[in-house]
Amino acid sequence: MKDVKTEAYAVIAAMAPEPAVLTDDTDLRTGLHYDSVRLIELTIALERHFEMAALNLDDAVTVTSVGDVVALVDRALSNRSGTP
Amino acid sequence: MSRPLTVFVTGAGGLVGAEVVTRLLGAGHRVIGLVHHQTDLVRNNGRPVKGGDLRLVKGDVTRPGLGIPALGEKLDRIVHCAAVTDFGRPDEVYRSINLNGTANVIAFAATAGEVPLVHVSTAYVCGEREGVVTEDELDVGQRSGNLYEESKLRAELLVRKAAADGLPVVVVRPSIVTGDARTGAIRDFKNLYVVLKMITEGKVRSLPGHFDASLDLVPVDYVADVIADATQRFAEADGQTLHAVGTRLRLRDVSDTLAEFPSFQVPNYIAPATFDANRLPDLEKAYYQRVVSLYEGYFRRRVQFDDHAAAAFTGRRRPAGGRAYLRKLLDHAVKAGYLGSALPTIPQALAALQRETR
Repeated sequence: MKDVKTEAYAVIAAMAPEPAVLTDDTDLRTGLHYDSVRLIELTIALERHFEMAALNLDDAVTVTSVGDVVALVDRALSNRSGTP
Repeated sequence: MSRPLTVFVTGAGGLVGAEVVTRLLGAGHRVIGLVHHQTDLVRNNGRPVKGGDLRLVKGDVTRPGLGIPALGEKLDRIVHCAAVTDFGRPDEVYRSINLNGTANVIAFAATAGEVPLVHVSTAYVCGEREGVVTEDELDVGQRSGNLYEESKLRAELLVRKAAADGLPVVVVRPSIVTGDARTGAIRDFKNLYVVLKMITEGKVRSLPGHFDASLDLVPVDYVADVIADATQRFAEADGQTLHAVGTRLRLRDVSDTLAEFPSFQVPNYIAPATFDANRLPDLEKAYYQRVVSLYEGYFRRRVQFDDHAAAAFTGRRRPAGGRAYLRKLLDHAVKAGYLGSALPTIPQALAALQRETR
């Protein structure tokens, strides 16, 4: 499996309303034109792609950049591997 | 015109706030607009608010004293528009902005010398009530439809308490704020528009609701007119609550109107008692639970807002609603690319990724 960052980047790019070159600092709303609905769709797409349980939406509300998304996925995956 | 007023407007950068500011400036008043981060105000039609006697102050309603330095000028009115109106945010967001924000504005008004306050609430403080809701009713033991409505109900109770303690107050309660009455244009696609997007794209096909449930859609320009009237002719409305509402639209009419658009899906309504979200297909269930369920009350409520006080005070005609107005809103949303756009679905996007990595 490729690293989480590369895969998360690919999902973010595939779902982005306006494609652009991604960096950790790319703003989801202003840089990639994500709106509130598309952000929710992005969380669902990430859950499906990484086969994770529901991402915490309270965390998702504070997510603004591509780097924030990678961190959110990283946290969710490490929580998962920590569960018996 | 009588002498110009100095009006302090919170949430001046918001959808309703910017339109209120525009009207007050147009009538020759001085406006001090409280903004969170904006440096310019944008009208609902996308054009900048310009001309007139406007001063913007950066601040934050969640902070005591609204987080601003002393203004150094005497205020004649305060219009409190600032609020978070999205559904589905955590409770602390509503508490901090809608409830504590209102408490801070009330304290600010009192400290500034009992400055008359126009408080922007929502008609949906009525919560899950059915039937006719009058302007003089507030807490009748109703259950709120969601955390947003709960926070606005509690904020309005704070305002009423302040009024009982001597603060001059007018409350304006808009229903669901939607596009311009004439053009259908809207600056921000939020709230009901989000539901319409889910439905028309066929992402959610079944909804728990009644065909005869009704939505009350009110054009943003009418809401701003009522608030501007209350601000300018405050003494005549002092102590009153004014419903700034439109004409109700039954879900049957919504479906019939959606069906006129060839690219739109039309939802099925299922009796709420027999609806079970767990029986929806996986993806639809996710959409339903995360987005559409927040708006469930819209599909169930059979409520009607009486607006006798507003009509008598403003002398304005309640905006014509119905299918013709909904059609304008939908036409605009399609033209703006919000509805009917062809972004890849989640399965399409993920399938494309799989192909690339093979």
